[in-house]
Amino acid sequence: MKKINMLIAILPGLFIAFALSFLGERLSHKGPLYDAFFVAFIGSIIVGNLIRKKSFLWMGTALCKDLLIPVGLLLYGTQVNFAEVIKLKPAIFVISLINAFLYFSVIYLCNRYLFKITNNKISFLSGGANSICGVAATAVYVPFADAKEDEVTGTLLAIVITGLIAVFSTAYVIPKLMGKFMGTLTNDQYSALAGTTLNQTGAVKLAAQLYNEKTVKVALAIKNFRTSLIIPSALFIMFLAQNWGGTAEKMSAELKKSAVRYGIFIALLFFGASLIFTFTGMHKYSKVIEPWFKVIFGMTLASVGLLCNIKKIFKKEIFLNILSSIIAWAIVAYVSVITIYLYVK
Amino acid sequence: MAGRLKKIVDHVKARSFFNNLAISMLNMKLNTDVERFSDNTPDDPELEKKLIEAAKEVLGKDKFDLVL
Repeated sequence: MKKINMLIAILPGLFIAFALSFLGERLSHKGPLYDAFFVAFIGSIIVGNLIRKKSFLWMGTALCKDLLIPVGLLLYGTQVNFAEVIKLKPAIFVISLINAFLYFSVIYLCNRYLFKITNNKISFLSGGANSICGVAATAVYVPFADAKEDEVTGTLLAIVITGLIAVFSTAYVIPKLMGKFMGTLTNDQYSALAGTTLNQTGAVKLAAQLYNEKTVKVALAIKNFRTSLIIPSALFIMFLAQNWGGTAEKMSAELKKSAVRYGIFIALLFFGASLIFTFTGMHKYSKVIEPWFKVIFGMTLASVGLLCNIKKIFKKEIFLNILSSIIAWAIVAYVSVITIYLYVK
Repeated sequence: MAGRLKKIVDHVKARSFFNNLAISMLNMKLNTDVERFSDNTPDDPELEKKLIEAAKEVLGKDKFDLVL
């Protein structure tokens, strides 16, 4: 393919993904309800399904995924301040890991035994994404699990719907219930609840802002700790998908090696950026970089949504996976309320 | 023996730094979604020949070094 033809082929998908992501970023300034990634992803599904023949989007959306996931993770690293993470109470780290285990287990058990879904890959992707970092984690997991389009779309839908239910329940319902039976939550306890249970950074920030602005900083620091597990969790999901994938497609040995090399590369980008920004005082530039991070990562999500066929979403498996994610969140929230009440004062 | 087409696609993915772009280029050359090939996709010698030629172009190689 000649270079100029390739450039022409890339432009439509790239431009539409950029436009949707830019819109998401701009809307995110209107208020905490407008999560940039949510707008980019849902917008791209709507736009993508208005386009009948999507072949002209293939090249541009592919470039978004290949180039912008590493760049997006590099920029994500600049948003993570480890100086705040290491100040957290030890109990928070333990609760976060327990919650991650619960998300994986409950989603897998519900899908496998309650709903009889034999493709275990979607369970692992949803478990990982809900417990670590929502849409960003899903984008990273794709090459590690060799996830197919419907598996990715199903996971992203589960995260978005679970996140919506969880954020408003966390801000309005759980504190009221806890107030009745256990007493009013302290700011630290609420930060721990939002930071350890909600699946998206935007959801954590929104839930914290809706409750009390003073809880935002600690809640985000907790979420940053979970985000830092993105690469180890990706390798874990690769292992699970290969050995307990059920009816899901397995990766060849060659592809696995390539995925591990890719994982090392993006881990270096993410951790390199976050460590440099934490320990050299460059963190003061994080706010300047934030809009670029939102646009670039938003483009990777838009590139997934644009190719998503909405008719394929209306499959029993996808709905049941969403239900499993919601059940998992409810159990995680319940367990977290008890552990936070006991161990976080 | 089924799954030969998927092996070729996986080989291209594994050998490409920009693997999504490589797959898209295969899609454009063959005018089909190569990601739908699975381990159970029946073999198709004619399609396999075209896929190998497309894979060589995408990988920038004269020889296709995968033993099927």
